[in-house]
Amino acid sequence: MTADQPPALASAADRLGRRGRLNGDTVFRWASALVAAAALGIVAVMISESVATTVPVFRQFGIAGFITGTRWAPSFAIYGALPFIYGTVLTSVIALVIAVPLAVGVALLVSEFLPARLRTPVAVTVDMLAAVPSVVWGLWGLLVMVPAIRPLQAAVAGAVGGSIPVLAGPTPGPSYFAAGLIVAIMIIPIIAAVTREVFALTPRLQREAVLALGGTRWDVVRQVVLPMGRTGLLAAVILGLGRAIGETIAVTLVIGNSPKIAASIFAPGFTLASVIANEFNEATEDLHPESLITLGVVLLAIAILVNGVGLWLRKRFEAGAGRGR
Amino acid sequence: MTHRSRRLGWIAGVALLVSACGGGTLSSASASPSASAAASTAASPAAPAASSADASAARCTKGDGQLNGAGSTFIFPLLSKMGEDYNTKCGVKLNYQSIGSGGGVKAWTENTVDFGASDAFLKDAEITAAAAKGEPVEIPVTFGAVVVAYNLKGLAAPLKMTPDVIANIFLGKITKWNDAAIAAQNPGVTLPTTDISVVHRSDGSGTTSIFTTYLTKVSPDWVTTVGAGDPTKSAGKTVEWPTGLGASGNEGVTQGINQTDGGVGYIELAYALKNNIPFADVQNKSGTFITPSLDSVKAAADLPSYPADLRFNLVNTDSPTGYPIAGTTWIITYKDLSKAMTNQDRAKALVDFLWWAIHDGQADAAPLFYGSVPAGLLAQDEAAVKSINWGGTPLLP
Repeated sequence: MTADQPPALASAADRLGRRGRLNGDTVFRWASALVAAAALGIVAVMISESVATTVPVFRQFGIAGFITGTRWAPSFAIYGALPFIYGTVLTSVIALVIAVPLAVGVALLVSEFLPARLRTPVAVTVDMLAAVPSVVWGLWGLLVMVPAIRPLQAAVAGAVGGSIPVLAGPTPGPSYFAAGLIVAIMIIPIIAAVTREVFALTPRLQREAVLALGGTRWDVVRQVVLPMGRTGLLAAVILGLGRAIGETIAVTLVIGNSPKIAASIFAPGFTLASVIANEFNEATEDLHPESLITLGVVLLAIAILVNGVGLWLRKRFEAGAGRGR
Repeated sequence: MTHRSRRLGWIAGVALLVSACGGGTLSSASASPSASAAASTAASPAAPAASSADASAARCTKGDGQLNGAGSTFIFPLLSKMGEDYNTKCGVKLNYQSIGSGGGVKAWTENTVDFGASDAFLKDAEITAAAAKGEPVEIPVTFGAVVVAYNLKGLAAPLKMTPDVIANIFLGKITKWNDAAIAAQNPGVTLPTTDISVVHRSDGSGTTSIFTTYLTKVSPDWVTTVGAGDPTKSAGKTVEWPTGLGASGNEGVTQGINQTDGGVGYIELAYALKNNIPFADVQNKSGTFITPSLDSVKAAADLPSYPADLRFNLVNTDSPTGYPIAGTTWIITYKDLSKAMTNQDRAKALVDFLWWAIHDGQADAAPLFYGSVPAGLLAQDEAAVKSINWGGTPLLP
């Protein structure tokens, strides 16, 4: 019965529409089109204006020269984007490595293991982390987290830094690692919320089938919940990554703001978003504002790339899942 | 029937929306008198002190009832206090956006504000860029200093630093606190073996400009290493730091210093005084170690003569009791305001405010840890304000 309703409604709407009078559908269609066109128009203007600004920068340094340039020296009018691209990618990777296991753990705990009356309080608490403004996270990171992790960084660098360059000292405190950690805390609620919803969609019959065969709850997670939620989990990770790439204020407070490329995650660095926030206000040197806008375009390109890869992976996963069934 | 009721619903909805907006405006309008009342009560205790400061009675041209400025973050606390007091006195509201000196000069050049405020005087290129609206006038209104702050446990007295030591610390050549060069100036002080960890500003800043102008003046090494031999590249709001962490704002640098044992950085004197941060005595041109203070800044600003266009810098001056890393904040506007403004009364309001700011307004400086205009400069400041005109007609009698 319920399944018959949508076509019935549609045909009713068709009949109304065929009378040719000004009706709700027409108004709604045009209003939607107008709003959608405005949104697209704004994006188009934004992109074209930004890209137009990059022209003098790329003319001066070349596209490859700007992107692979390792020196950023406004006083010499020399601008290279690589230290910031490196910092953005490295902090995002660190953030994902820390956040994804924790977020999936929280999501599984809530959807599979907690008693029903505890689920909502735990879920709401984690969700509320997403409501904390990023500047608050940043200040907390600067005042509390960085002093707290400084001894840890020094200990790790002292123990294994000599043989593993990625963990080498010195450890001033603000670093790629500190930035990755603060961003991880910020994206955990996002990834957790999405994966929790995805896991909750796992069909009851499938769960009960595994349990009926003598499986444990862990078997349910391993054989039903995780495989069926794979696509959703990927979407959640991409969403988190998008936030990690663009995070500005919290990162700038704890990353040390040094436009250099260092192998060690305990060294200070810089990201695309944080250098723009730091320097744009006082960017009066030749090509300086243009170069910062160009960094913004690079950031946009990375974000589009990440989303593209995410879409492609999702398609592949969905195709794989289709074959599996 | 259903259609009609739906349409009625739409109309009711729109009406509701409109009335909601109306309510919003009303409430915001009713909020503003209470806000200004609060401002006036806050300002009233300072008013008698201000009026006793100077005999030259300030005029009050109301103009549009407001003046807009933008620029230096350094002068912001002083200008907001001045603005409050001036509003109480004359009913002219001062809207100041502290977006940074560079941004202030840009906004002034683009004529979106009545005046700019900058911690550096205009470069020749900036004067050329503004030439379409006329010749600029730059009025020094307050003075500040940059201190070398550090975090070392258990020191009784401030460390003494020579210009060379400061340069070598920020060049990364002195890396330990017990370096012989530091110890030589501080006999009897037990210096720790701690590593020095440098913190500098990551945002473009007038504070950086004053500090690097000083280093450029006192250290040929600094010019060679940081500017590749070009002094215009080794001094400015952003330079290519050879070492250290970057942090945003005075508070960011202070945090960076406080959190690291052995941390060192440069911050504004006013900020250091307000927050009780230890800082070094610095050797000046005469060879004396000077403790940064409002008095030693005032001494540094008291030059035997000032250039006619009032574009001077105060680093490493000849003053025997002056602190060597001092700086000035200028208010910048046009000599002939008739091209930049459309309303002569507004121009008069600006000139009246500037006159007040260099006289009675100076009483606001010391309580907020700002250096006030020295007596030797006041006559030239007055002349600069008096030179502001409207198509040739002076705006002040």
